[in-house]
Amino acid sequence: MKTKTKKTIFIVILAILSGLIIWKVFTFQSSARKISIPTPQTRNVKRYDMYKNVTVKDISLRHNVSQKKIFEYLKIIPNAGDENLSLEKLGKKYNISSQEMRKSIKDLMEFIKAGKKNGKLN
Amino acid sequence: MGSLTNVVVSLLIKYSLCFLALVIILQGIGVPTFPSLSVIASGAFSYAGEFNPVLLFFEVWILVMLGDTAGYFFWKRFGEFLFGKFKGLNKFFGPKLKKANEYLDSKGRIAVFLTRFLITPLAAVVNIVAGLSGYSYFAFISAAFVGDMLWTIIYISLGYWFGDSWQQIANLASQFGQLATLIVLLASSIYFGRRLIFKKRAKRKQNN
Repeated sequence: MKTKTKKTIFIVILAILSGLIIWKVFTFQSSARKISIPTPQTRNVKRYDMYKNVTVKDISLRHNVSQKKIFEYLKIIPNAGDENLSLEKLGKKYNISSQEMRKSIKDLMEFIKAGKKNGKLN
Repeated sequence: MGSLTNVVVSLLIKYSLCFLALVIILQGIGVPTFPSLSVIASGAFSYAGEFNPVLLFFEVWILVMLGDTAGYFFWKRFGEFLFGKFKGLNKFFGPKLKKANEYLDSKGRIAVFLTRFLITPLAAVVNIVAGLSGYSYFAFISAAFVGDMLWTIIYISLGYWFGDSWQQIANLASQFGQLATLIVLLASSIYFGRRLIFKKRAKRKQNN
């Protein structure tokens, strides 16, 4: 391969990498701006929000709690298949506000914790 | 990202340590399983009380080192098998791997260390090269020891602190790793490109 060809390829590679880096910096910045830094207060309030992607079936299997009990705490009279919906989707389906859902999940988790201590979960 | 997140969360809640072990060890061998997503998620769930954060840290740290070890030995054995069976491959790759081994002997520890937590997309590549080139396992794992610890602390802490925003943080962490990799590739290209050009110039001056 001639030196001129090698130099051309080298410059093209540099240009592509530089372009990719600039693009990545912009996307990184725009993604970072969308994230709000949590404070101790917001962390406490949103402590159980990560359960929004978890299904009733998952919680039942993990903590050995009946699905009936879980739906009781969520204040939902379930239809068939609801155990496979995430808590977020359940909230939307049954028009439960995020605040109410948060409280229900908190109560459920506290029940599970207490139940594990006492050996009674269902 | 949405469906991947749901799968990760579901498997993490159902199988916790087994799922993390599979994801992390496969990544060490070179299979892309996005362990950072799972580890950040586990950090977030440890804040919710699903896992003990201290225990989680030690479990993940040990799993990551096991993953690196599995990757190293997998490629060491696989390389021995390949080069034993296909002599042509040995003829072509042998000198290159010898050069890689010499490079790793001089700068391997820093390369292994940095790819554990900073330039993470290159971690599996370093595992492969270290295994194939016969780099000392002791040197490899001693550099990985601290790097893996830092990776574990960073990713679990990110999940633990950011809680319900863990998905956005996982995305951001992945983007950061890609950016760091691109910068390293650019720097390497400039370094090796310049060497190539100046080598030619020096040779031409000598001839003149």
